[in-house]
Amino acid sequence: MGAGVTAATPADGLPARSRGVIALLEENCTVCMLCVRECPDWCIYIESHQEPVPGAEYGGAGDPARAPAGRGRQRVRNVLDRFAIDFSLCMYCGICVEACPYDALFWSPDFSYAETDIAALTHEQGRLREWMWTVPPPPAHDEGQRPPQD
Amino acid sequence: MVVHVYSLAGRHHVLLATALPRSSPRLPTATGVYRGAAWHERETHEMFGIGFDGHPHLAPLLLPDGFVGHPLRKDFVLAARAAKEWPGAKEPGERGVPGERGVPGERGVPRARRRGPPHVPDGWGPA
Repeated sequence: MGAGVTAATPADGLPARSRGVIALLEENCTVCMLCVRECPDWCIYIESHQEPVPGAEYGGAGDPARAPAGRGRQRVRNVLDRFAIDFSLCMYCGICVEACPYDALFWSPDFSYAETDIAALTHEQGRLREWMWTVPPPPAHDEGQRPPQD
Repeated sequence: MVVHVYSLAGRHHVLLATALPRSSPRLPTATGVYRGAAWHERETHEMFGIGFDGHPHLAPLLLPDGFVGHPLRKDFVLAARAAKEWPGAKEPGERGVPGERGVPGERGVPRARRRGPPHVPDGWGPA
């Protein structure tokens, strides 16, 4: 046996893609509910409501000549009221991060959120948004890789 | 019931599999051959309800005293799934109680696609 392999963290730095906490970029969330439904632990809670989209009163484009007032369907959009993750239930599988089609959920390596009250492990929207500041930048593209399209 | 038997000396491996009746599953104990099988048989007894004839002390190993049922059986209702409402039952943009947003098909109320939580049998959960 060589030298010990057990090392203190984070003095030596955490491994890449460490799963510490899940961060929410609520600006990207469309309330599609996919993460909630995929979560095997049922630990994600979303509350939302619908609001009419101003200027989109017609079914087609915003052209009153083609779509006279009163016809077509009022466009609505979903507004997020509450997004919470209960980290006392979460098993850190990352399925929600994988399932999110809108890049609203991210892994952060930050793990320092131990609590003495189990209820405090339910992180609400604001706290989940704050974790975004601890999310590392995505890894660099490979040499010779096609540049991103977006 | 599936048992893997491995000989460290001979380095050969035998897989024993047998079907048991659901109503009264019983097997003779293997503790006469392997003393270490005692704990495994105790665990199998409490988790699946399989009896082992000739076992010296077939008491619960992991479950608390007075626990009713065999929790690793497929038909065992998990309390955490039965007592809690599935958070995914809500549709996007739905407020409060699932299903109480309005009449499906009305303006701005998309037809709800009702489906239960994956991997949870019908009939579980709060009624």
